[in-house]
Parts: sequence; C-alpha cells; structure tokens
Amino acid sequence: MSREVVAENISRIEGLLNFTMIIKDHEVIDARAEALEGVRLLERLLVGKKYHEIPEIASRMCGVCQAIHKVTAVQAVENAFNIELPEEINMLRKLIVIGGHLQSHLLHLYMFVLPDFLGYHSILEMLPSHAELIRKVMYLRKLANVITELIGGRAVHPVTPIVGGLSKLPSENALRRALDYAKEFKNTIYTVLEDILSIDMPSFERRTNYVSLKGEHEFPLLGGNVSINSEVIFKPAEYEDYIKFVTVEYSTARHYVLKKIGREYMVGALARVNNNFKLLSDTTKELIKTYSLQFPSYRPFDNNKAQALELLHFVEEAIYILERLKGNIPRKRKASFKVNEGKGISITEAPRGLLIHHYEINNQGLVEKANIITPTAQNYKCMEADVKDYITRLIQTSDKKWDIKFEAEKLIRAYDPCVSCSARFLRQH
Amino acid sequence: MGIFSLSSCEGCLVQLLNMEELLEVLNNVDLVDCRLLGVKKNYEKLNIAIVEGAVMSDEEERELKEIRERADILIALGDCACNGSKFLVKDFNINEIKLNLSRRLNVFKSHPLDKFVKVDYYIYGCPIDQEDALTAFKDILMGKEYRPVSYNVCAECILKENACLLDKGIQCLGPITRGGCRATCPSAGRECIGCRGLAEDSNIDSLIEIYKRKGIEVPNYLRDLRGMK
Repeated sequence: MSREVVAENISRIEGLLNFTMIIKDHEVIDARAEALEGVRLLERLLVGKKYHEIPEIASRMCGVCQAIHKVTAVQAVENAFNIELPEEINMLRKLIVIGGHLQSHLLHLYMFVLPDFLGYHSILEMLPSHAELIRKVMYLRKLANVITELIGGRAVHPVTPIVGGLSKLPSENALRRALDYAKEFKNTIYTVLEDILSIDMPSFERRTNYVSLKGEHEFPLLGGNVSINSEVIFKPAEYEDYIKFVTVEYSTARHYVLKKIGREYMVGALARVNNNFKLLSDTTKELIKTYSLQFPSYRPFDNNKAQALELLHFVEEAIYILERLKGNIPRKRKASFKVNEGKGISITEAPRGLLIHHYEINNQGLVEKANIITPTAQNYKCMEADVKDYITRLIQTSDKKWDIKFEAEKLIRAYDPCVSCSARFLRQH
Repeated sequence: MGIFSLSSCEGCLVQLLNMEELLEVLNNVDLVDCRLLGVKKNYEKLNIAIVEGAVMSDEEERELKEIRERADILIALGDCACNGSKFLVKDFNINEIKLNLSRRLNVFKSHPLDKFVKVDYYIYGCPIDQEDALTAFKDILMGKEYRPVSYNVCAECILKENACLLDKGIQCLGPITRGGCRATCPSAGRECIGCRGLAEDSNIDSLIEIYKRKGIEVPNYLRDLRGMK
C-alpha cells in the first residue's frame, strides 16, 4: 500500500508551490514539485513588443529578484545589437544587482529560513524574543535597498538600466553615500551572520550536478562562461546544447535537465560557491574556516550557508567597486547603437542561480521570440530528487517519528524557490 | 488584517516588507493571514484584506470571492490587482488568449479584482510607491477615506524641476498617467511607462498630438487606450 503526503501551499517561499510525496514500504517512490500559480505568460506577452519594452515587462517576472531580471534582459538585447559597454557602466549595473542580491538573501535567510531552525512558524512569532535581530535585519535590508536605489533610481524594479547603458549616472555624492551604506552593511552583517552560519543543519548529502557561471578572476555575476561541476565549460550562446526543458503533466512550470545525461542539476548560491570558492573574498574565506565549512559541498542545506557567505562577499565587492569608481564616473551614460535583426542571449547569476534571457528581434526592433529560463525552474528536478532521498533516509534510519511534511518543506525552502518566476509555460515560436 | 497574493510577481508585497514603518504598522494590526510570512491563524472575519495580483484562473476567482465575503475593507494592491497588469503590459485590446496546451491551460486571461468583487481602495503602480502606500494605510487605519492622487505625473515631475523628456523626443507617458509616484522614472532620466494607470481627465488625443508635433513615434496602444476610457 502506498500513501500520499502533500505539503500544500508551502509558506515562506515566493509564489505558490505544492509538493507531493508518494510513500510505499518505507520509501518515497515519487516526489513532485507542483507549481500552482496562475500561468504568467510573460514570454508570450513579449512577442510583438518593442525592444525597449522588454526589460520593463521581463523584470516583472519576479518581485524579489527584479533587479537581475531587468539587467539580464537589457544585456540580452544589447547582445542582439552587438553593443559593447565601458567597464564603468557594467560596474554601476553590478552595484544595482548586488543591492538586489543582498536584500533577497536577507529576506530568504532571516525571514523565511531562520524560523524553521528556531522552532517558530513565522518571523512575527520571533518578534518578542528576537526583536534586536529582526530590527538589524530590517536595517540591513534598508541599506541594501538604498544602494540599489541610489544608482538604480528605485529599490524594487530599478529604473536606470536601459538598452545601451544607464538613463542617469549617479552623482559623486550618491556614490559616496552608497559607499557609506555598503561599509555600514559590512559592519552590521558581521554581527548577524553567526545566527545562520552556526545553525546545525541536517547533514544530508547527495551529490548532483552544480551549474553556475564560472569566474576567471572574480566571483561571477553578470557574465562569463557557464560551468557544470567546474568540469564542462560552455559559452552562453551554446546553452541549448546543454540544457533541455521537459514539461510535466502535474505542474504549470517547466522543468529542466542536463541534455547530454538527462539528469537533474542544481543552480544557486551553493552551485556558485562550489564552482568558484577560490574567488571569494579573503574575509569570506576566513568565515569558511571559522565555521568549518567545506566546499565543494554536496549538502543541499548548505545552500543557506553559501547565501550567508555571499552576503559578506557581495558587499565587499560593492565596496571594492565603489572605491574604484571614486572620481571615475564615466562621462557617457549611453552607447549609441543601431537596431538590427538579431539573436540576443544573456546568462547571469540571480540570487537563486543561473538566469537565462534569450530574445530574437526583427529589423523593426520587435520581439519575435522570447525564452526565459529561471533558476527555480531549473531546480525543480533536483528538489524532487533530494526530497525523495532525504525523506526516505529519515524514514529508514531513525525510530523517531518525523514530521515528514515539515522536513520536506525545510529542504525545499533551502533552495529558496521563487515560484512566480518559474511558473510560465508557453513557448512562442 | 490579511495579506493575499493572486497571480503577480509579489513585488508590491516586497515593497511593503521593505518599508521601515512596517514593524510599526504591524504593531497596530493583528496580522492573521500572510502566506509569504508564514502567518496563518484561525479567523472568521477580517477588518482589512490586502490583495495583490490579478485573477488568472477560476480558482483565483473563487479565492477572491471568499476573501471579499470575510472582509469589511478590501484593498487592491498594485497594477495587477487594480488593472489586471494592463498598464504595465499595455495589451489593452486583448482580454483572453486561447491556448490549447493541456486541460489546465486552455485560456490565458488576466483580470482586475473589481471585475469580480467590490474593491474599497486602490493603491496603484507597478510596483506601488511606498510613501503612497503608507499614506493609504494611515488613512485607512484611522478610518479616513484614502484617495489616490488624481493629477498626472507631470505635476510631480515639474515640482522636481526635471527637464521635460518630451522636449528631448522621448516617448513619455507622464501627461496621461496618474501621479503619486513622485515622478520616479522621469527623475531618473527616463520615460514614464504609465504603470499607475490613467490620471483623471487625462487627454489621450492631446498626447498623440504632442507626440506627432515633436516627431515622437505614436505607439499603437495609445489608440486602444482611447477606446478604454
């Protein structure tokens, strides 16, 4: 006899997700990630739109990681028009994106994950006993948002990144303030990282394939080649040879596998750190030592810890960039370009992992085809495999009566799924 | 109070979470339902229901009607809830797209809340503006009538002493778009994309005239929008 356990409307993740496990004779024989959200047919809506409208509509894919969606969409269009940008413009865009990554990681780690390990249902329940910590987290989120706002014009859905450059350059004063905020962020984050890094998380281990951008000299964010387990390396333009989508009957979201081996893979902070840990900042590497972490790690719960490390690494990168930009603001905010027929692909690292935007634009500058592959959609198959294995091991190796639903939710939350952005379906040809 | 998300990017909710004043607002209300924050208490009635997102399925329509049944005051949060995200996407003449993909996915539609239920207050924008939302919450918590601003974005843009983008030949929707955003986009040097919907008494014909006079391309959706008024 088999029984079905369903974790319904999993809370403290972005979007709606049900997770079903079929359990038979002390084994999870099937696990299914079922995205429930009303299908957002953004790709379909993009067809026929003017190229400059793409970033506006595409960034509405997700309200948490909108900054990276916007910049990735802009870069993809620039790729189609062969626009090359001065390094300083890319650095400014990086700052906008880093602010977004920091606020996203904070939201996930302290508001969504922490209650799991401290025995609370929500951050509101934690308020009376952890007021100081929560106030600090709110403060940190504000600092991160201000960094994005000072350079991007707005914290949620920043407005300055446009095709060809930026619509407005920050003043020297804005950059100075951003630097102050970044330094303040660094000082403050030091006092709360322990709350995440010292948590005794389940040591469950299952080796899978880790896919991320691969940095050459710096930890990757907005460009570069893609790497599978630091072994296979491919160019963004070749992604369709390596990544394949599979539609599943039970979900409105697309699922993805590695094309050549037909197997699941993981994207996100853990994949990023696994493939690039040598490129983390020195202080971040010290933290790895202090808390006896090891990379590459095959423990999915370590995605939480990898995000915590990135909080420090990324803010240090922001400080580095801001110091380099002192007195070096580019004079030109926008490159001139011609609209032409073309295919544009941009692959970046969103807070939740590898993000692919691909547009085909005609000579009128209108979108003919759009393909957007979000991190969460790529992670579903891996989440399913992990839950299957993790819950089976819990059932088999322990006499304890486990709350299976809660354990599965905890593991799924470690992936930081963002369902509204993965729940698109239609591919327009 | 309950906070609910239908189909949306949840960015408006993130705007709320980003508000420094959030903890203060939460001190003054009993939040009984919010999936994103993991709050789910037992309750019968709600004084205030905040709903973000558009209605894209029959299930969402049912859920919305249930929320309305329980709530004294229902607030539509953001362009998806207020206008079915039409002002962001600008497909004004398309109501449904027929798909034949599977049983679950045969029609695509995106409707505002007030197509199905009575909405008491609208907080516009994609995303909502924090100051505007805070004004709304203060007014509503104090039992006052919240009124979104009725004038256009230009009114706020002029106060910021920005140079007019139309003069630079940029396709800006400021003249016909509802203000209340403190002219965020034009102040960052780029066109208003119209995300807060139409200002009261907005004159679309006149904007088309201005575009023509200044040699700015007139987008097709402006003509569709004229039919909607």
